[in-house]
Amino acid sequence: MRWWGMPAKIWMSCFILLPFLWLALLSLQQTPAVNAPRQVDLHQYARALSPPFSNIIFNSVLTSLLAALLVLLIALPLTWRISRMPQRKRNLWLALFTIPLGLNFVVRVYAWFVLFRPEGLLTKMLLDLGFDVALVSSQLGVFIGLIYGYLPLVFLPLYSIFDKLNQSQIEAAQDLGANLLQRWWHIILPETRLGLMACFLFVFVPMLGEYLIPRMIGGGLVATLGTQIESQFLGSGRPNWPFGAALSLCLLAAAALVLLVGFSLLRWQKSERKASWSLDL
Amino acid sequence: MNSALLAADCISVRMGERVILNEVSLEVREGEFFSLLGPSGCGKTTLLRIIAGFSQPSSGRLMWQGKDVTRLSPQHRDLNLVFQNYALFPHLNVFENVAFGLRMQKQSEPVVQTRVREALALVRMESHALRRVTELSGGQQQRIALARAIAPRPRMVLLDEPLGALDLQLRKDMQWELKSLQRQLGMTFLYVTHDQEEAFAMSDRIAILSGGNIEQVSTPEILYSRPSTRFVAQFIGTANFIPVDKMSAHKARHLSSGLEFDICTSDERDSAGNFPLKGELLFRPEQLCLRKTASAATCLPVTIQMRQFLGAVVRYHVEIPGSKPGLLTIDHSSVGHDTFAPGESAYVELATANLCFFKEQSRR
Repeated sequence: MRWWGMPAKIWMSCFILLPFLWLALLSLQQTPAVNAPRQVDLHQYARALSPPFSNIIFNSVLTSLLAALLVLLIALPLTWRISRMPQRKRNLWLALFTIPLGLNFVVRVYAWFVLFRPEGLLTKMLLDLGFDVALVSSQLGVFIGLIYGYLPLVFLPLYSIFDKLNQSQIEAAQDLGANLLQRWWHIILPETRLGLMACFLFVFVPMLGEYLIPRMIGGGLVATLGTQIESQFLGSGRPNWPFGAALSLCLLAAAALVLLVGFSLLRWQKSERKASWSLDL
Repeated sequence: MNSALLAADCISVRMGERVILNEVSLEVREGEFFSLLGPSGCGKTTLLRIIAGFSQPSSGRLMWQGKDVTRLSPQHRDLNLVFQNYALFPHLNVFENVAFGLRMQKQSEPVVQTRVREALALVRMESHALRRVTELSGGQQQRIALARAIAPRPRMVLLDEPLGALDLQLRKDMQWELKSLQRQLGMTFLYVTHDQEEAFAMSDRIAILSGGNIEQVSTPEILYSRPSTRFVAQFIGTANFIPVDKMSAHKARHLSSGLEFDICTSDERDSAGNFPLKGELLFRPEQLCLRKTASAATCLPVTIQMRQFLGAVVRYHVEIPGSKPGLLTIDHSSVGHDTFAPGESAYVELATANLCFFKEQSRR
């Protein structure tokens, strides 16, 4: 009697499986009108996968991919340093990086908006330095916002990954002649690759669906997959639920695709371990 | 002097008020099996980490063939470390683990192949080359760790209590193997352990560390028969101390019995000091012998407290009536000796020559 598995099963079916099926059915409707004749076809998908929406999907995937990679790139050395600190210092730093999570997301994003405005501190400073960049309503601003918003989320998982890594293994590599880059490339990254992949997906997937940051910093002028879906469902114009549902499933498919590519890369890396040695570092 | 491969020159490590290492100086010669022996917390691992390059001393220098290498980073030192927990790379197989150092040296593939096979053959693990290291037993992992350290052919191999995690029988076998491996390769081994037997079984020379100080550096034979401090005498083997008065530079007398002894070494420097000088003589268990009757002039009456049959030897714990420390430990060969039962009265015959004298402790 595996009854203790039931709550999870009920939860999954009620709140994940059923809504998903409903969304899938909805996406097959031709028109948004509720009383329209129920014709089932792929009209909504055809629309989603042709310009301008295909471009938006492509841009969103690219931006999220880049932003997620950058988040990892920034967080890796930082969390690594913290995980190698003495216990007391470690706790202080971890607290410093996780305290912002206690603040409401909207408030944090709005703070960036204040800095990014043409009369904002950051924009003025950049202007003084000779950089005339628009941060509000621009792809760059949204990009920075994404990185900022998701950076704290990877700190704790990355920290726990590194914390578990045996220090003497790294020392052994160094002892055998590996320099800093070689230690990362041959020991740290291969040994933590699964965790790193999980961290990457952990920020990449929500970034793909993110609509708050593009809405607030992008001012509605930067179209992303997230904002498109949101406006199809909640938009003030003409909501189109079937189209929104189709876009949502496209998002899911994109995420699944990246996941698939990612994990096959891992497998490839494992089987091609020997080849990796030829990479001169 | 010229054969010193590695030399520690007045190395100290302080952590706030605590002194971990106190002006440690020693020399490791090319090709020898050298051990750092001491109880836990004596600073031996700290010293090892300084030698490997993972820590820096607060003061002092580390010399490698006459050159100062104190600040040289670990990857540039011509020595490899065998870690206590082996620290094998779990994502690499046995072959790639052993090949790691060679790959870092950018050796050509044929060289890597032959050297790895050689190293694996030395530790008798050739057939395991393609296994995952996580599938290996502790003893096997230990061999791979050793092979990984010797494959790049460093001038020196450091071993940090590598046998600590193995069971007794395996540990004894590995002691032989390590020693013969070191002979075969002619490599310098620096071995860190808290196990006196282990150090004695393998080492050419041993440095005894206690509380961050080097107590004595010498061969096992000399450490055992001529310990230079009371700590060394006690730490190495079993020690019996009998209180005596030193009458001259080479004579001591047991006051209550009037027995006289010849002293060969002593830990006090001012031998020209005032006599009599209070102190103790060191007797190893085999320098004492139990007799049924008082025969020679070197006998003390004792009472048998306990008898332990240990196979090759029978160990007695006896009490000298009315004496302060009281208990002595005496080893008899298990054949060709009288046996004594607990409670029995007997006489203990003491060796009279080549004894070590230690001044009464004026506690440091």
